[in-house]
Parts: sequence; structure tokens; C-alpha cells
Amino acid sequence: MEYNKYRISFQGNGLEYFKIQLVNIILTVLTLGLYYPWAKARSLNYLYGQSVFEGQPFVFSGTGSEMFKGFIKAFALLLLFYATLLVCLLNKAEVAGVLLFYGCLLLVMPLSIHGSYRYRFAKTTWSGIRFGYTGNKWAFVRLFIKGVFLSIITLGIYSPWFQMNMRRYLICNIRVGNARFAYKGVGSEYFLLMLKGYFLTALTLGIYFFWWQKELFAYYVDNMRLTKDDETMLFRTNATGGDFAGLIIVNLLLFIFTLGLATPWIVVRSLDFVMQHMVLDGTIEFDLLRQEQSDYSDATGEDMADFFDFGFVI
Amino acid sequence: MKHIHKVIFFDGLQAGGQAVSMYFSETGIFIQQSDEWDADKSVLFFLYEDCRIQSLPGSRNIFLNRRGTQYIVIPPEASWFPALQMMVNKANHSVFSKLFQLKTAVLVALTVVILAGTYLGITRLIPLAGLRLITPEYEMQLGDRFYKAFVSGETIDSSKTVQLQSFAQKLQLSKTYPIKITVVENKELNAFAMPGGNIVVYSGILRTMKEPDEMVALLSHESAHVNGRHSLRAVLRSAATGILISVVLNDVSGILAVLIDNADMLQSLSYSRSIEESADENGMQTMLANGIDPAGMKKLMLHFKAAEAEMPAGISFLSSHPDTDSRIKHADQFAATHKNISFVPKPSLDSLWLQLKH
Repeated sequence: MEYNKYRISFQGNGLEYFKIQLVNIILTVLTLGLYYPWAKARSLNYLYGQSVFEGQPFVFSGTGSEMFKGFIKAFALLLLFYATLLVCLLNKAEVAGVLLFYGCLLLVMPLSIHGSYRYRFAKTTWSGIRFGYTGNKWAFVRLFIKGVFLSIITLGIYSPWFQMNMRRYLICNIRVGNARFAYKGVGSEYFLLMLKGYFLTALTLGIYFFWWQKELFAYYVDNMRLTKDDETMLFRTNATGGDFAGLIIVNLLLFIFTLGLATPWIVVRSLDFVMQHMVLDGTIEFDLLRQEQSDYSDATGEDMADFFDFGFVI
Repeated sequence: MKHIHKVIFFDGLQAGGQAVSMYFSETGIFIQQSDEWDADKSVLFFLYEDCRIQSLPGSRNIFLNRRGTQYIVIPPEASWFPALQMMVNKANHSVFSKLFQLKTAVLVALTVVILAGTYLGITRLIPLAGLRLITPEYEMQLGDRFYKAFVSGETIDSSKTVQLQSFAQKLQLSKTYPIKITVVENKELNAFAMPGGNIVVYSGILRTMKEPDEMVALLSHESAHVNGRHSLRAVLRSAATGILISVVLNDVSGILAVLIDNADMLQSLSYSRSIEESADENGMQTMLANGIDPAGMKKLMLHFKAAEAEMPAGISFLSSHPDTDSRIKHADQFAATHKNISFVPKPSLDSLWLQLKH
């Protein structure tokens, strides 16, 4: 088995992304917002396509019409929730209404994360090979509800464990062809990291913040791996606290002095930063990845996640 | 005679690319997984409609289906690529790609024009629709609710309220709305109108006034706000902007929210100025209709101007009345054109005014 080092590079440029945003804005406004799913597809398409691994770009093959259908379904669902809540409130059943609403929310949030992972990864390909998410819907719902419940009764102390459990479950179910991702971060380590970061940042009047970000990023990346049969690939990061300080401070200045107009450049800079500071090393021969994941075109979860604005976080 | 080209083909079964032979015709792309073209071997065919070109620094790919699973990589030296590119682009017209070909500066200009147009359109149309849908009766109910919420935190001077109300009843202020006056204990020089006919006058301004025609000017100005449904207009306008920000544009990009916010601030400033000017104008018309000399408007404004010099901050009447000087000038001109009219004395108003001042 051959041991190799790989990098992902990001080749996008801010001006081009800015132009895409402009066209998106024009079309979205002219269609009174209906173009939004297509606009999103265009942006993702660009950002994926400019990320290159082993000479081959990533591809986002999701379409506007899929996401539009998902958007309609998600919107109908949301309307139904509010209608139910309203009916309860008008019938003086406030307590029941609010309980029902939060109950639904507790169910909808994990379901939409699940849905968006399924859709997003099924629509991601590299070298013609599809990614996939194989998590079980109800297992994730159970994990999510347990996490929220324990976080509430421990006044948030459990939340690092919750976050790591969630991340482990999600990442361990991501596939690319016949290779699988894994994550081995645990709550106790993450908790200490948060505690240390919080106190040192306060003690150093915020200066430590950048090093804290570096440690968190490293904790996310270094605990990730990719395996295929008996071959393994480890993820490593070499970003320093100074690198993070440069990234964050410049991004902030760019944003402030252009009144937000530099957002496309900020996105491009940040993606470039993340990919530049990530190395994969190990023995997987990527040329031999086989197509194994199936396609999945229901974007309801993806759009639902958009509504809740928790985005798509890895 | 078909031209056979060598490209790298990703077949969507395994990740690595393989060298294949290909040629393209009017309808699509033909691929054979072999080194030399062999007429007897099987051929893969892809329609241009399903193809999409992706250009990266240093490489050009043609995706052969919409799922992104099969594609060919064009060698950098391929001189035949532009012809193929034209074929693919011809089959894939989209508004997006047409717009994308424009120069950045043109796109920026287009974006600005469209945004400004939409912004103005929506901030005008929604208030217009709202004004038609909301009847004066409903507006009065709405105004009553505002009024109750307001007075619950204030001290009302009830005897002055009754006196000023009978003063107002001597005047013809509104055809549609019942004008209800409330005098509130407060040193500030202020008065304002609520939707539906409630007018609140601060005791401070009552004390400052010398002549009854100043009070007529004030009531006429505030009634003009009521008749013009100005607060309803302002509410609808900010609602329209709010809708614009939150529903239509919010998620496209952070840029837009910033732009709209700034545009809205400028708009609000000029809007409140134009509203005040129209209230002055209509107020003076009301004074004329009641047989009162519109010169009272100027006298009223001079009180505010004097107060402006003394107390620079915290006076709401002034902060929403930006250009006092130009308004005074306008009031002066208006009064000058009606100088020759002889106004009949109004003893009933004068006696009510004397009561009010005691």
C-alpha cells in the first residue's frame, strides 16, 4: 500500500462569485423571490466546482427545481404549524398550543438536518463518484431530543457532549462511493476545550479568541478520517492562531469598510483558508473509489433548514 | 469525415479517468471506450441539452449528464474545443448565462436600477393598497387603541381638554374624522395627531402661544395629518420596507439588507419632510376655509424656532420637522398671497381662547 499526502485547493475568485451574486439578485428580485432556489443552486454550483481535489473538481448537481419543490413543501409544513398554534391560541389552549409547537419543532429540526444531509451529499460528486448520507432518521431524532433534554436540565453543561454526539453521528454516516468518513471527537474533550477557550479569552481580553478558534478547527478536522476496506486517510490541519487572526480581522475590516458589499470575497477567502490548511494523508487510492451511493432528490429538509437558518454546518 | 479526439472520460462507475476516443456532431457527443475508433464497437451518445461546460483555471470539463457523474476532461491544447463549446452553449440557453456574460459594471448598474425600482415600487404600492383596504372606521378603532396606550402613561389636564375641545368645535377641521383633543401635562412644545382623529396637545405649547390664530394653525396642521392619513401611511410604508427586507430579499445576500436599510433611512427623511410640508399647506387652507388669517401658521412656527434655539435636543415636534426655516418661508409666502383678504373677527373663538389662557 502506498502512503500519500493530498490537499484540496480552492480556485474560486471573489469577482466571479460577486458577479454570480449580482445575477442572482437581479433574477430573484424580478421574480419576486421565486428564483431563490435556482440562485442557491448557482452559488453552490460555483463554490463546489472551484474546489479541486486530485485535479478533479467537486460537483453540486442539485437543481433549482428540486429545491423549489422542497421549498413549497417546507413552506406548507411551516404554515400548518403556525395554523395549529393559532387555532390553539384562539381556543384559549395556550399551554397545549405552545407545547405542541415546541414538540413539533423538536421533531422538525433533526428531521430537516437529516433531510438536508441526505440531499446535499447525494448531490455532491467528485470524479463522477457520488457522496451519500446513510444515517437513520429516527436514530438521529432520538439522539437530538435526548441532547436537547439533557442540555436543558443541566443548564447547558451537557451541550458540548450533545454537539459531539451529533457530529459523530452525522459524519460517521457520510460516504463517498465505497469509502466512509468517521469522526472520533468526544464531549469531555470538547467541553474542556470550550472551558479553556472561554476563560483564556476573557483573561487575555479577547486575544486568545483566535487561538481558541484554531483549537476548535483542529478538533473538528484532526478527528476526522476516511476509510475504505483496510485503507485509511487521516485529516490534518496546520492552521495557527496567527493565521486565524489574519483571516478573521481582515474579513471583519473588509465587511465593515465596504458596508457588506465584500461578502463574496469574504466567502471565497474563508473557503480558501479552510482548504489551504487541511491535509489528508494515508493509503486510500482515490482512483479506485467505486460508485455506490444512490441519488436522492427530495430537498424538503434542505429548504426547511434554510427556514430555520441553521445553515449547513459540518 | 468525423474528427476523432482523445479525451479523458470519467464513467461514473469508478473514480479514475480513462483515455477514450470521442467526436461530436450537430446533435451531441459520441464516446467510445477505446484507443482507436472502431466502427464495430459500442458507442455512448450524449445530447448537448444534458451537457454543461465547466471551466477551471488550467482545465475544462464537459459534464455529460445533470447528475455530475459522467464527464470528459478536454486536453488544454485542443483547438477544436471552441466549436464544441458553441454547440453545448447553443443547446443550453438560460437567462442566467446571458446576464452572466455582461460586464461587471453593467451588472452592478442593472442591479442598482432594479433594486431601486423594486424598492420604490413596493414602498409605494403596498401603502396604496393598504390605504384602500383600511376604512376610516377601522382607522378610528386603531387610533383609539394607540390613544389608550398613550394616555395610560400621561397626566391629562381635563378642564383644558374640555375648553380646547369646544375651541376646536368652532372650527371646520375634518369632514371624515371626529377631531378629539386631549391636553397633556408636559413642558415640551409638542403636539401630534393619531390615526382616526385624536390630537394630543402638550400644555407647554398652549402656555407659549399668545394669539388664538396660532392655536387654529396648530389644530389645522394636525388635522391635516389626520385627514391625509399620514400616520397610517407611515406605518404602511415601514411595513412595506419590512416585508421587502424580510421576505423577498433577506437570504440572497447580506449586501441587500444593508442597501435597503440605507435607502430607507434617506427615504424616511425626505418622506417626513414632504409630509410636514403638505400638512402646513393643507393646514393653511383649512385656516382660510375657517376665515382665519393663515399668518398664524408663521407665528406658530416662530415659537418652535425659538424653542429650537433654547433646547437643542429631545423635542419630538422639531426632530420630525427638519427644515424649519424653509417652512417658515413657505408659510410667509402663503400668508402674503392672502394679505388682501379681510378676516372677520371671531368673538366666540376669542372668548374661548381667553378661558384657555387662564
